[in-house]
Amino acid sequence: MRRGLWTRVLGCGAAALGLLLVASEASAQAISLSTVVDRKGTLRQQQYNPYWLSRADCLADDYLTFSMTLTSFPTNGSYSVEVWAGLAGADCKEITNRGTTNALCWKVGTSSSLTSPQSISISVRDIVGQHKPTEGGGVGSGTIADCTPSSGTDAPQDVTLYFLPVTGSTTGPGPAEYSTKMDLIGPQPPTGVKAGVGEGLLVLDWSRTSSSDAVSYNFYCDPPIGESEVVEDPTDECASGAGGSADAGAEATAGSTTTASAKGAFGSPSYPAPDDDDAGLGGETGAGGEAGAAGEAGAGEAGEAGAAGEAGEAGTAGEAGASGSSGTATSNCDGVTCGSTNLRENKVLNSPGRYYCGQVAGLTATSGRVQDLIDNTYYTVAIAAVDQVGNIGPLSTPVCATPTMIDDFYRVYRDAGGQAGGGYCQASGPLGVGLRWGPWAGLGLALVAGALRRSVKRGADR
Amino acid sequence: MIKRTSLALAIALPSLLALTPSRAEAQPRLESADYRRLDRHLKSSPQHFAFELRLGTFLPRIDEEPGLSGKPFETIFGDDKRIYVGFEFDWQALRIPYFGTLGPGVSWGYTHMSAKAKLSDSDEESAESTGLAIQPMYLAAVLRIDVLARELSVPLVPYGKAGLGYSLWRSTNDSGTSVRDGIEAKGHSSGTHFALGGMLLLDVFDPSAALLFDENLGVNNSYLYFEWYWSNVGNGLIEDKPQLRVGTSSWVAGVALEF
Repeated sequence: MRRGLWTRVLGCGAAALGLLLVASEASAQAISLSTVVDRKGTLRQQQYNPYWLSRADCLADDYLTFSMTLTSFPTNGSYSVEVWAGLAGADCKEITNRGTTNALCWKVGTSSSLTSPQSISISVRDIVGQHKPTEGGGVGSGTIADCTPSSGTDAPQDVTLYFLPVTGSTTGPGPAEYSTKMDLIGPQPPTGVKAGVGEGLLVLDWSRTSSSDAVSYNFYCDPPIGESEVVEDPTDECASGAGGSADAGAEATAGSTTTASAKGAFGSPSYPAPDDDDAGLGGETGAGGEAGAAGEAGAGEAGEAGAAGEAGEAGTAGEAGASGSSGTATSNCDGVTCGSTNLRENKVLNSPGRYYCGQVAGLTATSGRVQDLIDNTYYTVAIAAVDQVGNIGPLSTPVCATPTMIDDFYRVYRDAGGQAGGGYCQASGPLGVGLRWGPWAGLGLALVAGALRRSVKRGADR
Repeated sequence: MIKRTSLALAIALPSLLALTPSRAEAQPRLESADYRRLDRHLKSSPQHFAFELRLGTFLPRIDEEPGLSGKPFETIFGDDKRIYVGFEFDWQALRIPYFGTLGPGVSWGYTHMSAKAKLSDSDEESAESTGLAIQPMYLAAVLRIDVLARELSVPLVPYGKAGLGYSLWRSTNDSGTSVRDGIEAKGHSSGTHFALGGMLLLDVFDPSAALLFDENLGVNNSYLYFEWYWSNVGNGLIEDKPQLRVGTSSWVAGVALEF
C-alpha cells in the first residue's frame, strides 16, 4: 500500500514535469534576426567588406536595419528589446557587462514594441562611439566626432550586437547576436615615394605600408587630372618668404568650390597657401559648420574637421572661410615638401575626391603609374593606402614631378627619317600595288608544291 | 690475394646476374647495335614531318635602312643581341632515295627588346619604357640530306632552307603602341629567308631508346641542331614600300624531331 502510494506520487510528478517541459518548449521566448541587413547608404564593393563598419559609414550617418522576429514574448508589456554592442570578449548577455560600473558593453538600440516582425535600426555612430553607460552613453549618443578617433588601432575590430529581451534589470531568454567588424582608421601611408617622369604620365615607386590590412593604394595629384594649370616650383616662392593669405578662406566660403581656387598665398597668384587649404577643403566638400570650426582652430587640425565636413554634416561653409583667413597670416613653407598644400603629408582624405588620380591594388604593390597627365605641368603626387573597408589612410610625403615628352624608339626612328608603320595591314592603293616579285614567288611555290604532291602520289602508286 | 678475388667476385656476380635478364630481354628487339640497319626504315613508323624548337639570338638590321640619319635602334636599344625563340614545322613531302627529304616548312618566332626611353632632347632617362616586339616568320623549302646518317653511319644531317620571310613588329611605350604624327608604330615587313645548318642524330647514343621513342610516340629521329640564317626581311625585295628592316643574320640552335 505504502509502496503504491509512492509510485503514484512519483508518476504524477514525472507527468507534471513533462507537461511543464513541453509547455515551455512550445512557448520558448526568442528573438531571431533576418539574414539580410539593410544599410542606409549604398553598399561598398565586395572587396571592401560592405557589411563591416567604416569611417565613411560613420560620416554618412549610416544605419544598420534589422528585421527582427519576436517569438512567444509575454503580452503583458513587461519585456522590451535592447540592443547592446560589445567588442570581442565582452558578453553583453551578462548584466554585469551592461552595468553602471565597469561596463564592457554599450547600448545602441531599443524597442518597446512587441510587434513581430519589426524593423530596428542601429546607428553606426552609436556602435563606433562605444559610449558606455558609465560615460553617459546610450542610444543616440554617437556623434560625427566619433568617426575620427584620435587614437586606436588601424586594424579591424570584432564587434557583436546583442539583441536582448529585457524585463526590468533581468535579461530574458532567447537573445540574438549579430557579429561584424569596425574599422575607422585608415592604414599607415607608404614611405619612400618616388616619381619618375614619362610622357603624360608619372611612374611611382614606394615602400609598402606598415599596416597589414591595406588592400590598395590611391594616388592623388595636384593639379587634378584634366586641369592644365602650370604651377611653378613652390619651393622657389617659399624661399622668398612670402606670407599667407586670407583669400583661401574666402574661397572656402563657396562651399562647393575647390581648394584649387584658394590661390594667392605667398604673394603668388598660382600657388595656394599651405595653411589655408584645410578650411578650404571643408568648403570644397560642402561641409558646413564642422569645417568652419576647424578653420578657426588654425591650420593643422583643420584638415580633419574639413574632412568630416565632407560628409555634409552641417551647413554653414561661410564660417570656414572666415576662420581660414585667420590661420595663415604668418605661415611659411614648413611642412611643404614640394608643390601642393592640398596634398600635405599625413592629411586624411575621406573620399577619393577631385585629387584622386589612380589606384593600384594589392598590399604588397610598390609601383604604379599615373596617366592622362599633361606634359610640362608641375604635379604634386601623394599616395594613401586603403584598407579592407575602404578607409583611406593619411597621405604619404608628397613628391613632385613634371611629365615630359619622351623619345621612344618609334619617335627616334621617325625623326631619323624612317617611314615604316601604320598598322599590321598597312597598304595603300589597289591590291598588289607595291609587290615586286612576291606574286611570282608565290606562283613558284605553288608549282613546286604541285610537283611534290605529284611525285609523292607517284611513289605511293608504285 | 685469393680473399680479395673472392670479395670482388662476390660483389660483381650479383650485379652481373642482375644485368643479365634485362640484357636478354633487350636482345630480341635490338639484334644489332647498328642503328642504321638497312631494313630499319621498313620497321620504323612512317616519317612525314619535322618539328624544330628554335632558340637563338636576334639583332634586327633596322639601322641599315637606306635614308636613315643616325642609328635609331642602337640609340635606344644598344647593340646587344636579344633572345629569339620559335618553332618550325616541316612537311617532308618528298623523300629522295639515297639523298634526303624535301618539303615546305613554316616557322613562327618571337623576340622583344626594351629600354628606358630618354627624355625628349635629352640624354636623361625617363621612367618610361620603350619596346620593340618582332614576330619573325618564314615559309621555306627545306632540304635535309640524311643519307649520311641512314646509309653511311655518320650521324650528321646537313640541311638548307630557302624561302620567304615575313615579320610583324610593334613598338610600344608605357601608354601602349607608340604613335608619331598619327601613325601607329606597328606593321609588317617581308623579304627572303635562307639558312644552312647541321643536325646531330641523337639516336646513335641510345638506339634502344630511339626505337622505343618511335614505337610509343612515332618519333623516328631526334636531333640537336645548329643553324645560321640570313633573314632579309624589310629589304624591299618583295614589297616596294617603307618597311622596318627587322631581318637579321644570326644563329639558332635547338632540338628537332622527325615523325
